[in-house]
Amino acid sequence: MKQQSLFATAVCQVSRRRLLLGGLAFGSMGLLAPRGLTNTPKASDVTDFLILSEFLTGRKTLSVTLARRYYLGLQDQFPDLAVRIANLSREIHASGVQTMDDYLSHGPSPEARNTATTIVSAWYLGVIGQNPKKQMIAYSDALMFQAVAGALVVPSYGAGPLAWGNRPEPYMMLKGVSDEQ
Amino acid sequence: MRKISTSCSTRVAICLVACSALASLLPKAQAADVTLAEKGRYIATAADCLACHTAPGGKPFAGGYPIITPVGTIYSTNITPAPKSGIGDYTKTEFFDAVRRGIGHNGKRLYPAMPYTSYAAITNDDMEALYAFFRSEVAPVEQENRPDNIRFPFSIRSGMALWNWLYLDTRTFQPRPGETSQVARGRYLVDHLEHCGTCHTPRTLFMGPANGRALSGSVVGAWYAPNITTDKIAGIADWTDSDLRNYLTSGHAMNKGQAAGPMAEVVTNSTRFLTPDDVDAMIAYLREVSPIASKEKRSRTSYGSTEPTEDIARGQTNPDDRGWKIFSGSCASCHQAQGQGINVYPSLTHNSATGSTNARNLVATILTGVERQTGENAVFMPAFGPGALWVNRLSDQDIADVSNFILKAFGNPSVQIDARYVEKRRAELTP
Ligand code: HEC
Ligand code: HEC
Ligand code: HEC
Repeated sequence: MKQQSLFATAVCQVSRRRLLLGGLAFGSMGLLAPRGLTNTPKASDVTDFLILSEFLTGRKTLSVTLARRYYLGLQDQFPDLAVRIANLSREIHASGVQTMDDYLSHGPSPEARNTATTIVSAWYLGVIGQNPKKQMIAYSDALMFQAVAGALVVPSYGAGPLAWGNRPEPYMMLKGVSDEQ
Repeated sequence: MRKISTSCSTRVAICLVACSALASLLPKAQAADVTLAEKGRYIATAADCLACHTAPGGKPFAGGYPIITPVGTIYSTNITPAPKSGIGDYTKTEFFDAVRRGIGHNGKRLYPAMPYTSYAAITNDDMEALYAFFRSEVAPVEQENRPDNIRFPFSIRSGMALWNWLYLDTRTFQPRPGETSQVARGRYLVDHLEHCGTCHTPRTLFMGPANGRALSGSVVGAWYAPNITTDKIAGIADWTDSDLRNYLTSGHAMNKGQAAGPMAEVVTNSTRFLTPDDVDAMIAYLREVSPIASKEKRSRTSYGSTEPTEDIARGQTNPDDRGWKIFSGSCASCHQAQGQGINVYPSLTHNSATGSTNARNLVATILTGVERQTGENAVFMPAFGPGALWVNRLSDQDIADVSNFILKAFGNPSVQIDARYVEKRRAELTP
């Protein structure tokens, strides 16, 4: 059950990002039109995991190396990973949707949503699982940084002395949410 | 060094404005002197007299800059118009002889560390202007010269007469038949005023320039001045005109190379002040230089990333590659996790320092960092050698490991070095 609540946190984080980025993270996935999943119902190896991940994150150029490491790491922490991935893929396939957005509005089963969240939060955070088995896989290549790479620099990395400038205008304002300053 | 060049460049700028304004007010004769001296300033800049004749942190042109040669350290001399320790009492002929013939006061033969073999072809007009500049525009500074420590047999200055007979061509510059005026101007600049060959042309056993191998690359202290001939693989045929223009005017050519060490001084003190026409003339001439091949099979700027090292090693409790760890801790913050670079921080892939057949420029850059003045901005990479902040310093082994990692992952993987290699480069950087 503890597991359950952590996933909930992850979902929250993901959906908060979604708000923050004005839908960049999940909302625009439809636009990116990932490779269809129609002929890839099986997710039992790294390639299938990569294709599933690309559908779930709406990104087309995920790293194969990272896919292998996430897959192996998740498998380590969730012995039933293969089954869960198979179930998720089957459900996506059965729903006939083309994008993650459609899939989410279609109303995935709690178990499938759970699996999807586990995979997506691994790619976004660069970290898999939870304490005490939490494992770091990626830092600068974690999607949470990549999604905003054009505007923000990964903390502790630099964009050069000329990169300092005036604070940009907020990308979007949320009603009732005050500026963090 | 940086301070001097900044103040110097501002001075050049201010003077150019002030002097041209003044010139219109002064009587004709004086105006002509001022213009002559200003022309001399431009020639002194193109000939980069400042770089060699100013000690790090010292007064402009007062000498004391150590020039490390394989036979010992030579110190440049005071060429301010100070009467006692400088060249204040040089006649015009003596000045001409020193610059173009390597003959100092009382017939003393100068070492060719003073590039008089390149300067020998400077035209009489340009020499007049140079003389006017050193008489009237350079502030006199009394500062005694430092003795050199050249080893026998090179320590015998009279031996230079023989050397000069071998290597000194005393004819002044003449355009060649069939040469366009632009290429001729470029040749005058590259081969003579800018003396690019003193670093880029290999030396013979007697330390003379190897004829027939002009600009084909040479060791310069701990550094390596690469082959800049038109050879398709060993040279710079794959650099576009705008790459070369960017390199000579700012020291940075994207996905080609950056100027550090001695070349940073050339850019900082000299080439960035040249007129656009002169820069284009140099490029036009460099396109005409005979190609000289060497053994490498691939151009040094052609190496890309081989594997996603960051994706492989990040988060592993024990990545086997020590070099990756050092890279990640000391370099990735600027050059980025996969060496791809960002904004002013250059990529380490497609970089002549990492794709070369030797690791000299890579190691020397890590040891000394990069400091260069370009226009408004200073380019800066911290040093990791003895001059670095204590917490930043890397050992010989660290530098060997991080270099080997960079060479394998981003550059020429057939080059690998050990700690001894770094130790030698360190020694070469200490006068
Ligand atoms: C690559 C370095 C270098 C450059 C560039 C250079 N010099 Fe020198 N110069 C030296 C060194 C080293 C000596 C001392 C040589 C010796 O002691 O034999 C010297 C000596 C001289 C002397 C003789 C001084 C004396 O004591 O008799 C004069 C004059 C001189 N340089 C003028 C110039 C002028 C003018 C320029 C620019 C046109 C110039 N140098 C550029 C390195 C340089
Ligand atoms: C004092 C020695 C010195 C002089 C003089 C000099 N260079 Fe260089 N040059 C170097 C060194 C050392 C490098 C390598 C710099 C680095 O990689 O940081 C270099 C690099 C270059 C490169 C880039 C090559 C590459 O593959 O990275 C070009 C182009 C170049 N020089 C052109 C010139 C021209 C043109 C001149 C004359 C105006 C000149 N150099 C004068 C030492 C010199
Ligand atoms: C604070 C930022 C910073 C750090 C840290 C840094 N560099 Fe650099 N590096 C630079 C800059 C700036 C340049 C020069 C860019 C230019 O010339 O336009 C540079 C240039 C270079 C070059 C090209 C030099 C040449 O001669 O062609 C190499 C190679 C290099 N760095 C390697 C390293 C290595 C290895 C490390 C870690 C040990 C490192 N850098 C750490 C900022 C940095």
